[in-house]
Amino acid sequence: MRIVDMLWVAIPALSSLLYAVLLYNIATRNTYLEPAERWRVAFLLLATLWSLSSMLLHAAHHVISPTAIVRVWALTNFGVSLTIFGFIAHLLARPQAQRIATIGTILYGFIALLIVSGLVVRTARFVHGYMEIEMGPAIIIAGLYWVIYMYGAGLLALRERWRTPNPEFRQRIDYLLGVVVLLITGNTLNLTPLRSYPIDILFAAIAAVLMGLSISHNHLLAVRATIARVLAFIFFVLLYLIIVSGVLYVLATLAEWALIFASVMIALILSLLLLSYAPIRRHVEQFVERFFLAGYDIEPLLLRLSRIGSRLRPPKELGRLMLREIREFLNITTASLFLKDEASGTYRLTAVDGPINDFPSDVTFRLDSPLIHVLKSCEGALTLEMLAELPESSGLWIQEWEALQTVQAEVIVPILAEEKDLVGFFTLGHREGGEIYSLRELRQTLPLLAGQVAIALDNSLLYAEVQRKAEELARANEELKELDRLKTEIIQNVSHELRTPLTLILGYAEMLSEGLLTEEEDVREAGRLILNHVRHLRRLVEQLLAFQRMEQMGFTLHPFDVNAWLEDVIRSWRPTLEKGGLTLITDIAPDIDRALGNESYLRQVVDNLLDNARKFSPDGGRIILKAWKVNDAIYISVSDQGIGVPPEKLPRLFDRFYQVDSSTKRKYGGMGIGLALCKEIVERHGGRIWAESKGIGKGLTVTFTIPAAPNPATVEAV
Amino acid sequence: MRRYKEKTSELVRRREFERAWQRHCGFLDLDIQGFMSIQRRLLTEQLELGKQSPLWRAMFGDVVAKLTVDNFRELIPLTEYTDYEPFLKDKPKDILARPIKEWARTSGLGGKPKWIPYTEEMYEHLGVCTITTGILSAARQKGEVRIRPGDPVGSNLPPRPFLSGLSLWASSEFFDYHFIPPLDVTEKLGFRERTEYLFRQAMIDGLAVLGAMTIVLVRMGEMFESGKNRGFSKEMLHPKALWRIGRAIVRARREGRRYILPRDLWQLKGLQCGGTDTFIYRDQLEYYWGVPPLDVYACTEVGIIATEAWNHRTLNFLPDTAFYEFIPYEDWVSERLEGKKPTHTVLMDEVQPGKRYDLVVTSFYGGALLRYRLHDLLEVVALEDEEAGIRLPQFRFVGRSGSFIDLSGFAGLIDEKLLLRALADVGIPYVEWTIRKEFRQAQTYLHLYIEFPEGSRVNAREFRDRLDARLKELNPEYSHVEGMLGYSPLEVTVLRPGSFDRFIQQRLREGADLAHLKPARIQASDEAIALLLRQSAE
Repeated sequence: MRIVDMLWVAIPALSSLLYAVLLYNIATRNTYLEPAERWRVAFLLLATLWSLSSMLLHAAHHVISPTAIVRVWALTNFGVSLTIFGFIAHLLARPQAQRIATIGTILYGFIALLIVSGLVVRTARFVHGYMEIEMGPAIIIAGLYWVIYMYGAGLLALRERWRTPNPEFRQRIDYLLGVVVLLITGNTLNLTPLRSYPIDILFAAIAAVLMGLSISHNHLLAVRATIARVLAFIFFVLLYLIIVSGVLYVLATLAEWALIFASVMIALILSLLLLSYAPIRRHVEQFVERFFLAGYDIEPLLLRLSRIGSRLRPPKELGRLMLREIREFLNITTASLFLKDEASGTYRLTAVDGPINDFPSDVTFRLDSPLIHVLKSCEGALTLEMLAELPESSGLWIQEWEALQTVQAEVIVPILAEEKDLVGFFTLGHREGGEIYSLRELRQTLPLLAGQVAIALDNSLLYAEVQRKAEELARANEELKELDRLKTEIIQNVSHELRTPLTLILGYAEMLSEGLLTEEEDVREAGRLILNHVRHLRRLVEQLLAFQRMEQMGFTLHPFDVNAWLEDVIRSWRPTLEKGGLTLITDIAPDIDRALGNESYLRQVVDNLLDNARKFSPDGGRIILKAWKVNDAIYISVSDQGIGVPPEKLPRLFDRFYQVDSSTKRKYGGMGIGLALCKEIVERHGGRIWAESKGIGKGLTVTFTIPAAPNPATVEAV
Repeated sequence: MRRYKEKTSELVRRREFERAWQRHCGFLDLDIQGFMSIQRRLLTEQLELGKQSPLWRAMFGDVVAKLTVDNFRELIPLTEYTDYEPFLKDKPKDILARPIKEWARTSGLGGKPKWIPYTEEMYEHLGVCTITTGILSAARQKGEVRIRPGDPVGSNLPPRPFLSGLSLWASSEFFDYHFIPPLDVTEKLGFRERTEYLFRQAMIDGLAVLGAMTIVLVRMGEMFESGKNRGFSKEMLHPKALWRIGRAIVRARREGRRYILPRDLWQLKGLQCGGTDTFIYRDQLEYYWGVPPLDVYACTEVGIIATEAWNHRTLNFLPDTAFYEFIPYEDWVSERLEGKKPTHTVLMDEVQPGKRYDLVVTSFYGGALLRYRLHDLLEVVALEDEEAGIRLPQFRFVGRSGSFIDLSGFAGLIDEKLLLRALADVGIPYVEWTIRKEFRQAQTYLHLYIEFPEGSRVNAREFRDRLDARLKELNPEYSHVEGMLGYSPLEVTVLRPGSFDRFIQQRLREGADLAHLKPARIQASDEAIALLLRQSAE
């Protein structure tokens, strides 16, 4: 038996066995066959018949009529084209194509009739070991039918491949295209001298396997990569063969073909061994990766990101630069960066790149957001669809989804530091060409980029932290300097304020003790002066202690009659002021009645203000005391025509120990506590106090507010 | 705001079944902590949205601004539809914080419709859940997604604005089913027309998933089994229909049957039935239709609340439909017997196996309802389904509160399920029935009005005794009632054949609502009983 004859028995038999196994697998796995599976079953049945008829044709043509066998072969072959079309139409769920398949089924009946009646294959016989087939007039119709459905299947798959942006689905379609290509090639080879070999049967068997893969498995082998690896393997073998064959050709007269065959086998084995050697395998894989798999080389981008990250920049600027690089490289519309903000307990939008109209500054995600929880635990990047599909994401708020839409996110990439600490995440928008992100990009490329970003951010955040601490230190330093200066000033002021009366007291006491004052009048005068100065000293000390007392004891607020209270103030101050040559003008609104406060503390405030006004007013000047009501607040102001305050010093007027003129040669005394005390008292009433002055020599108006009493007897302990 | 840009049918078309399963059925992998985490989070959002909701501000005042997850149960009382009705009855557009997409309607007590607004997010969620039930009805194991784009899905359930119609429309945004009848056609057809259209067209197009009233499917199965009433229609001349009938005959013969069943005509992937009597007919439905029915618990107020898993055993709550509170059964009993309003509720992580609870829901996604009593009793069967590997509490629907009759100090003594079971066990075919508590001469009775088929020779007395005996066997508490009362409370009135049919016709002439064509099975009104008796007398 010739080798070819052996092949004609072995290959169809093995193919039939393969089909039987596949059919058994389908039968045991499914109690319900979806339409695509049914077409696949039909294909397997027809392919089995096709194999068997081919086998019979070559092995038993002298027993069974070749014409009959060829007609069976033709029946199955034309049927196979329909089953492939039907399979693809249903797998791709295209209703129109499915209808065409249904029509094809009806037409197939007609074709079958033509075949059986001998209008397609008239006769077939073996002449000198070669098959001669006489075709009938209907061969064109049958052929057309085969071409329409077989090529139609291919076009259907190609169109789907063209339309879908999903790279994984394109891979599945590659398998379908492989099926079509194999069957077309196998049948086409039957028109060439290669029809002597069962190539079409072999190809049909491979097609059956590919069909099964296309329908069964979710994650498919990358077809291109597989072909590439096989080609790479063959390349090495071929190279070796060429070298070996070249040498052997020279020695052809001496060598036997059996030796050549043995060399080929050795070459094959050696190639395998070579490929198992890691460095060579790595080169082969890189070759494959570069030319067949990766749509782009990520290394230049990583390098650029690394360079950007090597310079210390604030996180916002760093983020924007890196996002721009990523966006431009991957041809993405928008990108945004969210970083963890410990102070606010959120992940805050830090940088955006791309044509987003307004930079939405308030887009945040709380630390307890399900998005954050998912990102901490996910492997790689997530599309928005994948995020939505996770059960935990059911807890995402509408505003959080809207936030992701605001930044036009399609993909979210976590930026993880050590120990799965989520430093932040960046989002990427859709691709310019409409292509969607592949699994490879989600699982490898983008996490790789995120790693680079994480390193850069780490440095940047450290840098930002250092900057912040340096600024804090500088501020603290300035404050310390100011405090130091203030301390010196306070000591100067206080000592000056205390020394002056003490000096006077000492002087008069010495005079009294040494009996230098003999006249009764002089003694009384000395006593009076000593008493006045002692009282002044006591006042100063009490002022110093007033803050502490308020802190410790607090005071209660109660409703009081503001009108009566003001009348009392006016009554006690008018004589003093007039004695000093000053005029007190009052302007009390008639709608003022009751306020909520502590009368004696508020009295201190008004006394202090009037005393200051008196102190700083020129002779003959006017002091205006006003009171009016606005909504729930009572306003009281004291204005003078005195020395005034420069506007730039107004904000500090109510600071403790602050003096507008802090020099020791200043004209007016005081420790700078009075207004600070007023502010403390007013603020404890829930009011506010402020000063207005147009400048030096233009007087000063100090106004404060206290709450009007809403209804009787509301007592509040402060 | 849509979460899903891509339809589930696209995922299935690309054979990304894992993703499709996770999208719709991933909640079954949650544990109780994960479930409660989602509940609390969505409730937080809902309370925030409620602060901007004109409805809640009008109903609850300034307290809405202070509501938190921890205090809202103390600050807000349990609510009923009567609290919402003044605000919702005219279907105002801007009553909620989120835009309203659709209004769903259900028949309230007394014939007045209840209108419930669905925000865009609620509507999307309804669509997602409807596909969930479709996937689970067809799944035979975890992770199996058998539905395909283009699958013929038949439904004769009420169209929009009822929930059944709304859910199909919402689901069409996620899956390319081939609906029979088409959704826009359904809305123009009456119930009978819908049913006829469905099964006639199904002869040509086939059926992959079927959703219908339980009793309709049972009656159809019985009709097939009896071999009667084989109506002819022109659709049967279609080659596909002829092929289907021929294939059905072959299947029937293979099983040794002379009659064909619906399962011979259609190899369903999934079956979803509506009706409280599904549990009674479960085995029958599987026999007639070839697949076990999937029990789904849904309500117009919030949508799909719970569903059986692929093993068709017990109900699993969906964590993102509404916030669930449970009134303990003891409080429910106190309310019924003593009028004491319940104040205490427990949450999903606090329910106990073997206990019954009355369900309270708070809408999510900006919906209208806050602490709304559904008046549905559910029982916790177990805290987990070990067989399916589901770590969530497993429930069984017991009945609607209104479907219980209290008698003689026993709350929930008689309910529709109990009657259905007892009647089925008695074994005498009937057409329809209604039962209610009546008072005569200071005595309380359980009065059953029942119609038997034409030609039945049922001895009313004997029937009453058998039913009474069976009720006592099924419900031990019922067996104590006679001792307490000193007489047997059960009375039976046999109605003339056709009474219920004439009742329905009369109601149709009066323009009654779909849900009020028949008298309520439990505690029908005086007016309904009077009309029924008149139809019986005619």
